Amino acid sequence: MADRRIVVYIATSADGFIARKDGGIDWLDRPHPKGSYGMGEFFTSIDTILWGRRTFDEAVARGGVGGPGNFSAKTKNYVFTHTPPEKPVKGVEFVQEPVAAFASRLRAQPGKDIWIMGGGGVIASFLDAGEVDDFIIHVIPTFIGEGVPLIAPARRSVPLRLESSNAYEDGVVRLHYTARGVMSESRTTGRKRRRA
Amino acid sequence: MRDVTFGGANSVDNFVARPDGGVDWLLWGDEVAEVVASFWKTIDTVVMGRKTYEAARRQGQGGGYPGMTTYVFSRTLPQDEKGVTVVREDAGEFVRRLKQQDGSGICVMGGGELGRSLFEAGVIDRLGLNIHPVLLGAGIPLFHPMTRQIGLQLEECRRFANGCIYATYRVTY
Repeated sequence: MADRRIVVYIATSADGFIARKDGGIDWLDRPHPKGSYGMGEFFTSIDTILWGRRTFDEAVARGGVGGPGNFSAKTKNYVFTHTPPEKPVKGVEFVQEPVAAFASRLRAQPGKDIWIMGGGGVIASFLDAGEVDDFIIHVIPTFIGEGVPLIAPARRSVPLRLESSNAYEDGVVRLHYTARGVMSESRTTGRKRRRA
Repeated sequence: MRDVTFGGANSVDNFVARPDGGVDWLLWGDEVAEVVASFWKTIDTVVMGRKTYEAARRQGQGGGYPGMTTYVFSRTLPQDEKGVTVVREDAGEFVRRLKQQDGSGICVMGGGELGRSLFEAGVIDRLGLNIHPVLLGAGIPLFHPMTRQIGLQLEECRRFANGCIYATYRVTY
């Protein structure tokens, strides 16, 4: 069986935000073209979702962890938090473990791929631990002006490899990059660069 | 009416340079050279902010661009900068008037601060991005926070052999 991949699958505004400052994602409410950018296939490729606490709480407030596709009870949800709630939440495990240890434990278990739902903090933690395999980014043709960036800011330099790109009739651009392992590869092959 | 184009080479997380201004991550290639050359043929005017102008001047590229009318927005630069026209008035109003004059396209050069003023003034018509396959995490942003939401219409999306994505949009406000 193929290794489980940890995938950031997300939409950003064209100016690079995943939500408004208050967490709002109203700007994502737009009609999807036929096929919904391949979302259906993606949802069947995963069985685990990783959430930041704020993203999780906002999803619950919006009416459930189900979210897009309304995941079956078989979907495992992990929420990263320093302060787990006192009462357990059905179908959800709260995680305080360091990301690297958690990721290798998860990868060692058999299963489908793992979806990092966001937000920017959890994405940054996994990225900086070298644990993001794929970024699948849907660039929405809208500037929202300000908001929560895709990845919590910190100086970094992560080379990506473009796997595919699709432009849809509604102007959404879907970019698929791989991240894990690209760093060492680009070091050995010495990609051609030029100062502009 | 003359089109005003904003854009440039950016990282996936929308930075145009590292925190120290470094652009060592930029990739070049025949395809981007061709795109830049054909875009350059559609314009006759360049507008930029003071910081971009001073950065270009430090690299020995002062005096504007040959064959182009170059405007630099600044309230502090002396009026007699060689080869460029220093503009003291509000950038949005100035560009709005410029668009009504005869001429070819207008290119907004450099960082996002001028871009923001011009987006907020509603005078930018096109956006052109050369999205590089890298995450920088911090640096000089292409887009500065804006108080308005702006609609875009995708015109073109091409994949370059070097892993960059060239995407152009029409700004619909």
